[in-house]
Amino acid sequence: MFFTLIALTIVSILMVVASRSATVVQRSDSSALRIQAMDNFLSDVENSYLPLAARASAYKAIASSTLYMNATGQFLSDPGSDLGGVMLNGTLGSASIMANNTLQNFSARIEEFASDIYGINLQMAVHSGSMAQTSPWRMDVAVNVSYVARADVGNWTREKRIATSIPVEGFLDPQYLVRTGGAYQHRIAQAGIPATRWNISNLDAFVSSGNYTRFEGSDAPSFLERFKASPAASECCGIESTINPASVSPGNQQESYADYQFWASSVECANLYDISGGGFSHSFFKLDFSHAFKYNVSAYATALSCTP
Amino acid sequence: MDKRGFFFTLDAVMALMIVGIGLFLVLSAYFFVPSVSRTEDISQDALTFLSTTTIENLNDPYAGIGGTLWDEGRITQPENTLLQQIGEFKARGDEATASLFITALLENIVPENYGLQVEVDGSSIYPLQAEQAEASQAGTDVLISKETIVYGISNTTTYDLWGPSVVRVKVWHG
Repeated sequence: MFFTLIALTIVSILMVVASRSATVVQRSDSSALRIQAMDNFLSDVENSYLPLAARASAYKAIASSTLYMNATGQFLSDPGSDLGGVMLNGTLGSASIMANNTLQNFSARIEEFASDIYGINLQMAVHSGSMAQTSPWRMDVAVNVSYVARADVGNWTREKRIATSIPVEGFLDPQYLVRTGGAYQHRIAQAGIPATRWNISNLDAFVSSGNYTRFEGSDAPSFLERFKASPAASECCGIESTINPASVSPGNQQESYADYQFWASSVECANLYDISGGGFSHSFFKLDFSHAFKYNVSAYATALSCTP
Repeated sequence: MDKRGFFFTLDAVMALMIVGIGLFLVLSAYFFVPSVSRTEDISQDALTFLSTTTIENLNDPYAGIGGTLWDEGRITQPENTLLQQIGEFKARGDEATASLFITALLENIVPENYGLQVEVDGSSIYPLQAEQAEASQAGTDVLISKETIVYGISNTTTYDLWGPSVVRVKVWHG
């Protein structure tokens, strides 16, 4: 019995040691994996989810604000900041104009998801949002966020500035909407005609389509500036379109039909030229000499006889 | 004297047997663990393929650009990853197309004697009948489950955000 007892003791010790070491290895492995999973999730939220949420929210904010301006007939005083406020909490001034698509909604969604799926207590705070333009056809979106994530394996605290952008094509131009009470709806779409290819037939198609173009060094406002009552010229990002005389009433007005000049009534009659001939199909269409030159139609431009 | 010798010998033999069986049990815990590396590799490969390949980079007559789903207008965003596309189908309630999409993508990637299940938010998308996968999983000794989150916009005209959703890829040796 002596050897048997010794053998039983040795085997028992062996089994206890083996099972303990296996448990320790398993536990340290699972902790490392969980930390890695948390870290991957938070990186994904920062680098992918929040930029996507910012883009979605920015898109909805612009669309909602445009419709609100159409309904109220009022322009924005500081579009970059005002649109940022809509992104953040859906309000413009004291009016609530957007629901379910604010950054706060999207943050709440990811917080709930983090809790349900990963057991993380995630608390996000969206501090500010703004929009600006550094290129003619894109809107830059910036959002400042911070978050605290608490999990069983550790805590994460980060602050981040999310910078992303969305295309401006497809949005309604607020100038057209507000100034015509919604009667003239005009969406931003790039014409794609190079500056050297303008001629009378391209201008004719351009007026019919209502597309937009950009001339370097022109006084045209950017898309963002078009949310203001008096849009300023934008050196980096000015874009312009033309008014189709058939779409305004009366169709024959003593204005330049370059859109930003038309709405601002900024060209005197003495500087206007009637565009006709060469198969051009839009009666009463007028431009200032600068635009007649840019569109390469000065050969079809006739000085207007102004009535005092 | 003979009796004592007999008991000593019997004691020694029993002790040796106990030590032998004990060693066998302890060592077998280390040496007879089912091999997981191959299954792990397959599940990781499947997940990496789905999460890093975009529709525009996929050459497939059913799921790629110009393929059946593209022509039918059921895939519209070329920059979607395959995982995002699966999530988008689920968000639209079109699980049947999601299942066919996965079949087209993974049938040649997962070896014949391995099983695959893809779940989105806990619902089995591939195969559509969860029982089918569960029956096969019941007889396996190794099952690797990997998950990731997925989200996206339903189209670039309305910018409707869907998700986040959890996609779980399970691979097992069948």
